[in-house]
Amino acid sequence: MLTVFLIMLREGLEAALVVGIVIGYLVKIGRRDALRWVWLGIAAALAVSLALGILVFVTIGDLPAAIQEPIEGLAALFAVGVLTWMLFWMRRQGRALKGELEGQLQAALQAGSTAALVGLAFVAIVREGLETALFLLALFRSAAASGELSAGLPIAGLAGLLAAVGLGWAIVGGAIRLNLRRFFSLTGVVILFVAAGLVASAIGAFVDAGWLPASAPAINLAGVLPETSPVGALLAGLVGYRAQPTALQLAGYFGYLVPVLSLFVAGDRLGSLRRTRFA
Amino acid sequence: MTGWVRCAGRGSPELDGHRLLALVVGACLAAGLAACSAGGGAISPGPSSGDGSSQASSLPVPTVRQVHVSISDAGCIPQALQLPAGPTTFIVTNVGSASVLEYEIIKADRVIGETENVIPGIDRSFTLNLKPGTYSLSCPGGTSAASGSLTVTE
Repeated sequence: MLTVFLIMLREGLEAALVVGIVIGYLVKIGRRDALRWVWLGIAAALAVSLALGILVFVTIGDLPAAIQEPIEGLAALFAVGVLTWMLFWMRRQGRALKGELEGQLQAALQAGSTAALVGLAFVAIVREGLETALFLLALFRSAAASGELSAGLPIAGLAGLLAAVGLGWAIVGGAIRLNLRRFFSLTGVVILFVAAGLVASAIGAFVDAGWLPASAPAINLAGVLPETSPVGALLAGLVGYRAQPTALQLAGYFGYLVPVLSLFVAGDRLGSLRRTRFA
Repeated sequence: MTGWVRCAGRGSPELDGHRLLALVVGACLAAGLAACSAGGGAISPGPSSGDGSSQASSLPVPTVRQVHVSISDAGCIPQALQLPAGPTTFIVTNVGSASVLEYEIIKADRVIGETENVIPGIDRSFTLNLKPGTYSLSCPGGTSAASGSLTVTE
């Protein structure tokens, strides 16, 4: 039961964080008018996941890896692209700000960037949505077949998803209350780790799709901190933790994280240096 | 047969997410999901021979062998598997405490079939068209049998 809860928490947390950051960002720069498009993207992603999930469930039962894994991998890469763009876009906005003049930013978001943000919300959910819908449907079928024995399973699954949304909301909702510059720095760091985790999971998906060679895990932390443990599941959703990463995944994770983090931090220092000099 | 290739989504890795998603979804709906399932199963290198296409066109697949395997906290059960060639559905049951949740079949460093999130009480399955040869099994996280072998005979 706990396993089901944690699987759903892990699957949902990353999507909840990404969507939360998009919503938080739009709220923060005073573009609440764009929020309805984001909600539309979320609703579309949920509808597509559920409809396809039901269709697959009643026809073939399970989704072949040859379809599911490429979708997950490519969606992860798209999300990494938009998140990285968003990271540096936000930092530029944060740096340009003097104090709390949020109104200045209202015009800054152009139609193209809105579309990218809505696409990001859609992709973040659809990436794991179909797999999640299938998993939940299987739980419900099992509960219906065996009665009381597994009636808790679908409840645990839904509870895990709700916990993911709640946690994502708490993190981003808390950040919204910060001042603008702090908000940009904090969400920037969250974005960095989520995106690095997405790089690793894209590699994992391409391996499972047969596009990249499989290899044994470079490190095996399954005995120390399994992904199915509470802490492991949380870290998996938050910073892309993997209990058994391959060398390729580690290279992808740090190959993204280290240069982008350095650029991000260097840019922040440069920004504050300039501010002090000209203050 | 074009549906087969597109459903399996192996043709063009350079497509972007949106286009592939639309393509896969569209192709799957158009071709009927049964064709996709057969396509997804026959992931052996290159388009398969005659029996592959007859599989894709006839809705209830005629002779798919069903094989029951298990994963435990130790890993893959059995650790050494021997099967005859042909379309095979692997039905995976978790008999452990859910510390291992995944079952993979690997040929020459490529995952050719796998299923994830197998929890005790909920079996999951996947279908492959097995060609003669030796494969390895992988049950990541297993303590003593995280990997195993599969020998496919004529």
